[in-house]
Amino acid sequence: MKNIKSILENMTIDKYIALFIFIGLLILPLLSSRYSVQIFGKYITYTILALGLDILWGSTGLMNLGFAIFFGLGSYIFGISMAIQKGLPAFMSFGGLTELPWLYVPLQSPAVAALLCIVIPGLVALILGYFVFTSKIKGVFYSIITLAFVALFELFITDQQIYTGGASGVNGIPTGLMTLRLFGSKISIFDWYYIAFASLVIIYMFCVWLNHSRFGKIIHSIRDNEMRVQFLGYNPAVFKIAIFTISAAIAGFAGLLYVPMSSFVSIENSGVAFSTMIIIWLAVGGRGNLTGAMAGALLVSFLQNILSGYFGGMWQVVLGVGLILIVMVLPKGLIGSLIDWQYMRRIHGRQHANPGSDPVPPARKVEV
Amino acid sequence: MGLLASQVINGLTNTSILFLVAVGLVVIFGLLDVVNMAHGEFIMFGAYSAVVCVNTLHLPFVVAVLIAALFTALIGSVVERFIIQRLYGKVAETLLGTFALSYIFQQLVRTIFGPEDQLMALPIDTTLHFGSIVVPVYNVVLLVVSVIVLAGTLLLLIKTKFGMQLRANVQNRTMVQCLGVNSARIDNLTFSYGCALAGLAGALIAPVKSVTPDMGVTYVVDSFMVVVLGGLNSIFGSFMGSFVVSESSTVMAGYMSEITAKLLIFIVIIGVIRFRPQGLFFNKDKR
Amino acid sequence: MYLELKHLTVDFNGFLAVHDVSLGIEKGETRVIIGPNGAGKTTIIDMITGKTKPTQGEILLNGVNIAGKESYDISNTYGIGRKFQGPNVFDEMSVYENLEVALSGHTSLWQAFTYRRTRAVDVRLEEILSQINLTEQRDMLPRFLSHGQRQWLEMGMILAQNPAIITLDEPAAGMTDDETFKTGEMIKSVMKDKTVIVVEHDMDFIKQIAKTVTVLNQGEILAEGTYEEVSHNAEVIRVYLKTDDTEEEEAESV
Repeated sequence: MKNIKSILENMTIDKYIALFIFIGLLILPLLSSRYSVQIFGKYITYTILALGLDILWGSTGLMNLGFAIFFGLGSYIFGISMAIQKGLPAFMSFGGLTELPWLYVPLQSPAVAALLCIVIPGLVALILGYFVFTSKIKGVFYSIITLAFVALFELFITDQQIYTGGASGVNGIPTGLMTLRLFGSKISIFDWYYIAFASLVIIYMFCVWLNHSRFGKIIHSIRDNEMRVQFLGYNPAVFKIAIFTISAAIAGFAGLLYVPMSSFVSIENSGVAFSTMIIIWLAVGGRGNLTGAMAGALLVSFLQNILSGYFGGMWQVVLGVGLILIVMVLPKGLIGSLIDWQYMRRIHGRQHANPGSDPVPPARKVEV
Repeated sequence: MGLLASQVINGLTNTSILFLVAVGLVVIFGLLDVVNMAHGEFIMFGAYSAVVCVNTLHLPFVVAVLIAALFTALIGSVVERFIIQRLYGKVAETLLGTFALSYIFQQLVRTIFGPEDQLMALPIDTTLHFGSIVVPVYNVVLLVVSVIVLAGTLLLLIKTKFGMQLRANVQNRTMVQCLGVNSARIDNLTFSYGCALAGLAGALIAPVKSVTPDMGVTYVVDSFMVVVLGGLNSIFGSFMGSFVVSESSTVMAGYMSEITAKLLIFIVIIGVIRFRPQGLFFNKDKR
Repeated sequence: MYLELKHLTVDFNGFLAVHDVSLGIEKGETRVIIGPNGAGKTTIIDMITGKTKPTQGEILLNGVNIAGKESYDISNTYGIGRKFQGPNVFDEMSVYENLEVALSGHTSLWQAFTYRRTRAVDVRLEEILSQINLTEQRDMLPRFLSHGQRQWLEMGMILAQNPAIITLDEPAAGMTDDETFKTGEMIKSVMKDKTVIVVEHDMDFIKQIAKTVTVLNQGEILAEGTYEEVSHNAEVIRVYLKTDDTEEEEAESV
C-alpha cells in the first residue's frame, strides 16, 4: 500500500489527467444515450489518432501537416470492405462497374481488410519516409511535403469517384457492419465503443513505454539535437522512418475503429482540413506528453460539437483566435503548461521544506 | 501535334500564374524563415480586393491590381507587427499561427461575401492567333508581369540599399542592429512585400480563376510543390520550378486526368529531392 | 601510420579553409592542433568525423579511406568520437541518461528496442560519472550544470561511446584554471589508451597534455614538433603574436 501511495504522490499531473480521461470514458456509456456513445466513440478514435501524431511530432519533432491521410487510408480500406460485403455498393454500380475491381477483392474478407488498415498506412509512411529522411532535407520540408501529399490524396480520392465514392464518400457501410460477428454474436455500438476504449488504453501504454525506452530517448535526442546524435553513431534517418511508420500504423488503426462509429467514410476525415485539425488538437493540449494530445483531441472536438451549432461558421474564427492565443501565451499547450506549473511548485515546496539544501532541482521526469 | 503545341502554350500561362502565386511564399521563407500558411488567404484577399475595385467601385483594372497589392501589404504589415514578430525562429509556432490566420481570414470573407464564386470580366478580351492556336492577350500580359516580378524582385534584393540591408539582416542580425539599421522594420517590410506579391497574384488571377473564400488552399499546395522543386530560398529556382511543374502537368493533362498528372509529378519531385535536397535549380550552398 | 590525412583541401565557394594538409598520427598518440582563428582546425575535425567532405584528398584509417563517409558510420564502424566546441549535450535528459544514450554497442534500431539497463551498464556508467566528477549530479538536467561541468559531461559521453580515436574541439574553452587542469589530467589518465586529437588555444593546457603539436595557419601546416620545439619556432611566434590567442574561434560548429 505504501508503494502505491508513493507512486501516486510522484505521479505528474498529466498522468492524473490521463487516468481521469480513461475513467471518464470507461463509465460514460453507463450514463448516456446511444447517440452520445457513438459521438464519444468517434472521439476515442480521434484520441488514438492524436497519440499517433504525438509520438511523431511531440516526441520526434516531425510536424506532419498531412497526418489525416493515414487515418483516411485506414477508414477507407475498412469502409470499402464493409461496403462490398453485400455485392457492389451504389457508388460503384452507378459509376458503371459490373464487377469488383481486382484491387478490392482481398477486402471482401474483413479480417484481411483490418490487417491492411494497419499495414498499408505503415507501408506508405515507410516509403515516403525513406525518400524524405535519407535525403538531407531540412525539417520544415517534411511538413510541406506531407501537406502537399495530403492535398493530392484529397484530389485523388475526389477524382476517383467510381472507386472511392468521390466527394460524397463511401456509403453502404451499415449493412456490411451488420454482417460482422465476434464470438458468434453481432457487434453492437457498445461493443465497438469498448473495443475502441481498450485499444486506446493499450496504445497509450505502448506510447508511454516507447517514450521511456532507449528508442524513445534516441528520438527525443534527434528532436533536440540531431547532429549530436549522428556523432554518437546513430543514423537518424532510420529512427525517423521507424517512428513515422509506427505512427502511421496507429493512425490507420484509428481510422479502422472510426468506421463503425460513423458508419460513413468521406474525405472530410482524410483531407487537408482534418489534418489541420489534428495539429490544432496537439497545439491546444500540448505535445510530447501524450495526455496533452488526448485532452486536446477531446476538448476541441467536444467544443466544436457544441459551439459550431451556436456560432455557426464563426466557429472557425473562434478556433483561429483561440489557437493564436495558445501559440502566443501557452506555447506548451494546456497540459504542458500544467506540467511546468506543477514542476515549479514542487521545486519551491522542496526548497521550503529544507531551506539549507541544494536549490538545484533534480531532473524532471518528463516523457517529452 | 496541335494539341501538344497548344498545351505547351497553356503551360506557359500556368507557369506565370504559378510563379506569381509562389514567389511571395519564397520571399517570406527565404528571408525570414517563416512558412506562411496563410499565404493562400493573402492571394484570396488580393482577388477579392480586385473584384470589389472593378465590379463595385468601377475602377480600371490596373488601379485595382495596385490597390490589391497595397491592401494585402497593409494587412501583412499588421499581422507581422502583432503576431509573426513574436514567433521568429520557432518553426512550429509560425506554422500554427499562420494556420490560425488562414482560418480566420477565410471565415471573415465568407461571412462578408458569401461562399459563392465572384465573377469578374477579363480586362482585355482580344486574342492572338498562331495558326490554329488561339492565345488570349491577357495570358501574354500574365507572362510579362511574372517576368517583371521575377526581375524586379531579384533587382530589389541584389541592387538596392534595402536589399543589401535585408540580406545582411538574414546573415547577421545583431551586427546589422549595431550598424544602426532597424532590423524589426526590415522584417516588417519583407513580410509586407511577400504579402503584396500574393495580393498582386490574387488580383491578376481573379479574372481567369474562380474567386471563392477557400481559393487559397489550391494555390498553396501548388506553390509548395514549386518551392520543394526549386529550393525554398531561391527566387529564380521557384520560377524554374513553376515552369517545370506547370509545363509537365499541363502537357500531361492533355493525355490523362489532371490529378493523375499532378500525382505523378509529386512522385517525381520526391524522387528528385532524394538526390538533390537543395532543389533542382539551386546548386550553391548559401548558408 | 594509424590515421593519415593526405593532401586534404576544403574549398567553401572559393575560400580555402584547409589547403593541402597532410598529417600522420600514430596509434595511442595525443596530438594537439593549434593555430590562430580561421586556421582550419575545426574544419579538419569536421572532415575526420564526417561533417564536412574534403574537396580533395584522403583520410586513411588503417589504410581505409573514410573521407566523405556519413558521420554516424564513422562513429559506429570506424570508432571515431567527437567532442564539439562548446558543450553539446542533450538538455532535456539527465546527466545519467545523456551517458546512457551515448553508450556504445546499442546504436541500431533493433538494439534501441531491446536494450535493458543491466547491472553491467550501471557499473560502467557510474565509473564514468566518477571519472568526470559528476557522480553527485547524476540526476540533474545539464542546463543546471556549470559550463565546465557540461564540458565534462560531453567528455563522459565520449567515454561511454568508447571510440578508438577521440577528437576534442577546445575541451577547455570557457573553463576556470582549476577546471582546465582537471580536464588535462582527465585526458591523460582516462584517455591514455586512446588516440586523441585535440584542438586548443590555451598554451598551458597544451603543455600539460601534448607530446606532438601541429601548428596550422590559414589552412596550411606551419610547423610540427614537440611543445618545446614549436613554442620556440620563430614562424609560430610571429603568427601568434599578431593574433590574440585567448580569443575564441567563431562557434561555427554549434
